[in-house]
Amino acid sequence: MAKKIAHEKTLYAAPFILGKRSTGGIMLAVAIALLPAAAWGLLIYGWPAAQTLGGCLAACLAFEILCGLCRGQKTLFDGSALVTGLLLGLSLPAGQPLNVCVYSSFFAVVATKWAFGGLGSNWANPALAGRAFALAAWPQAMSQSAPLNLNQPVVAALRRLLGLPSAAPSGIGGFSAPIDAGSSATPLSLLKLARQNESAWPQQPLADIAQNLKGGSIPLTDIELFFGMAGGSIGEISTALLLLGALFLLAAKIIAWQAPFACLGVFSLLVWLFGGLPWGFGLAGGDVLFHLCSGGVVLAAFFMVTDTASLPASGSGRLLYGALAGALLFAFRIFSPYPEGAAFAVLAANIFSPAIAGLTLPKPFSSALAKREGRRV
Amino acid sequence: MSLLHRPASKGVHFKNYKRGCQNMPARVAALPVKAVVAMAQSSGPEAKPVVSVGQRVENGQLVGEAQGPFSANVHAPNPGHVTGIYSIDLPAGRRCAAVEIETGGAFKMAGERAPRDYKLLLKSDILHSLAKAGAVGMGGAGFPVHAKYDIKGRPVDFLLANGCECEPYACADYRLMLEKSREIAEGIAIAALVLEAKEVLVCVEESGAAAGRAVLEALQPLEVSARLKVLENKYPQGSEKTLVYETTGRIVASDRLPIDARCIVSNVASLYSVYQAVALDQPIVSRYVTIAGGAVAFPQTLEAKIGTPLDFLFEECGGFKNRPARIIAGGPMMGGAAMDLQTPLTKTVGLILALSEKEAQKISQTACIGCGACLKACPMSLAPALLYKLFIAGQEAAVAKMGLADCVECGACSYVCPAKLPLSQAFGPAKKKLKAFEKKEDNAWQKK
Repeated sequence: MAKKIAHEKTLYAAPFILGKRSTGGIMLAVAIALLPAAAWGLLIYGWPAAQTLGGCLAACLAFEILCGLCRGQKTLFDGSALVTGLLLGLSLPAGQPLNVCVYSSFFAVVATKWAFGGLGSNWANPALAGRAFALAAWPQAMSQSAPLNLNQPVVAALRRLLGLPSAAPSGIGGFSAPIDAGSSATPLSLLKLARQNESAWPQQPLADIAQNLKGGSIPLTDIELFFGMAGGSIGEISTALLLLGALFLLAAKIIAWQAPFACLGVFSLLVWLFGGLPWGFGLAGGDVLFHLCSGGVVLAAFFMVTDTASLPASGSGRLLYGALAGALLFAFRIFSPYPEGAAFAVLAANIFSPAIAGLTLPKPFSSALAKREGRRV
Repeated sequence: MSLLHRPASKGVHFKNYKRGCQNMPARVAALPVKAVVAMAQSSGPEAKPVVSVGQRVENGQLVGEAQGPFSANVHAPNPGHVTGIYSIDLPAGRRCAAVEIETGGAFKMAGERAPRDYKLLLKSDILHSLAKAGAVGMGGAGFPVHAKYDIKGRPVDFLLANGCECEPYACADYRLMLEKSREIAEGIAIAALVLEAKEVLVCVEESGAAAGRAVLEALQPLEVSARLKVLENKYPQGSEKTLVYETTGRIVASDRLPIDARCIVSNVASLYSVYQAVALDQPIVSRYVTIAGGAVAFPQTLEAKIGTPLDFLFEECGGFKNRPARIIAGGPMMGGAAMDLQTPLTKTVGLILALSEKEAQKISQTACIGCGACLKACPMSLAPALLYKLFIAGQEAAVAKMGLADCVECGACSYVCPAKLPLSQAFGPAKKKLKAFEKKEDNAWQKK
């Protein structure tokens, strides 16, 4: 052959230049966006959170390497296992035993992704599926969390900055928590319990809860919820830091705005209209802020709903899908017996995603003309 | 100042078009020692050599005769002797015959004759001149101009003079519009005459607005109804179908031509060759071509003769300053890779690139993650990732239904894809397969 001019690995057919974006770059950006919330979770929960998060990360990466070996592919550097491990770890309560981490990582990476063809072929967001699997298989463990350390120096400093009183002994900030000190309940689990066992509760805490939910000036608990001083999974407690990460992703155009905004918009609207009904506050009496800042809605909206493999590709499809996810989140929040229905809600929306994608494909350039002329395209 | 400012629309918005040499005037390149005149310099069948080895030829003499209405004549750019007729590989793999002429002897004529008044010519004369001169579409497609303008009485509302040079590095059309605005204007007037076009739209991008204004000014004394359309800087702004849509709002279907929407689109370099063919009665043997790329020492625009080997052109620009990783004839988005530096320049090539190792892309593919960037980039509103997946899976009926026939292979989808999938690279073969599939379907339909 004639003297080789070109580098062996360069492209042989146009286009010869490619954009700067890469799969690994996108995944890395998502991982970076999750770091503030992860750091906060580690800070406030301490060692148990590090165990859970580390366990999930390690297990996800290990399974990714294993599956790659079986399939003869080297996929570690496309970053998807890193993001799955982070998201899964952050959506579990702190202090989960290692077997929960490993088995749910297996379900996330192997069963949801690799069994269906690898990256891009997953039928649902892997982290979400892993979390749902854990919820279904270990309901007891998943409803227990290591206690919050509100006296941690950084946390305490933030509390002083926000003008909050120094920390209650254990539990969830403004609430008095009549639960044993071994596990701390989340505001949502408390609410669910309260509704289920109204007679078992002293009236005072329930009235307090009702008072705080009603609105007016932002109740103490909402500030604590927003800044991550109330209970929940490792990564979902700090709405503020999650929003920071989400803002970064939106500004860098890593995620599209349609799905998360449609999701949160529909969720907020439905919560506002109907969220107050179970407490007897009538229509338009729901506490939107409380529901937005608890139970991992923000984590789901910006990091789970935006997983591109389970998302329709067109803008209008994403709006529709986001709206569906928001409606399902609302339904699971108000009507399900589980404290946190976010995982199941978004999973259900994932299942509808291909149908929505099929309905909202863009119309090719000349199909409009063909329709007018009555020709077969 | 853009006359038509729109929010971000479909396509790729490059951050840097790398047109550093666009303010340098074009220079006439030296004559090559040996000119290799390819027979395939149009979109149709290749021309047949009409000279023999050892024969003396004059500059401008016919060396390749057009074979049929969609083929084009080819002429000798230099005076000399035919030293060989052999097969060559053009960039992107097209193989054709070529006539090698070794320069020697006197020029039959240097410079230009006084132009003749085109208003005194009959339409048939104009078309005949175009065919004789071997004028083809200089924007890259190479469709013979005489065939395009032979519209047989069909109405033409708009003649679009396409000066939207949307590929990175390219500035040959820009320089041509600035330096030869009078000649291009006259070419437009000739075209408008033969087409009986009601109006002329001079289309440029924002970055080429000054050049567009120069052409418009030159059109004023010629009594042609013309308007300037300054369009958003994006790729692929110069693509025929999207250009017709963006300037006139008319849709050209996948299997139709712009004439079906009563429009004719001609590149400004093609219109310049219309002037040369009709007003000067000269064959087309040269063109403006930009030599650029990170590996070229002094990127610039040259007025070069066809048949000049690429290595000669690179030497005219100071040679290589580092080892090139890829040589491209055409733009980085739609051009063809040249595997051999002896490949000659042809009429349809307006840009020659030597990309450095830093600029040329390495292949590192992952699976499609469904990000939808390709949907946003596709100017024809297709869903490239889905078409690609369906094509790989052999679902030809679904691919046809989803409108692959509309694909103009611009490469925007491949450019934006984070997974580096070979989307537009697959659509070329896919479209061919689709044609065969649809033919089979039609036959089956008719048999019923």
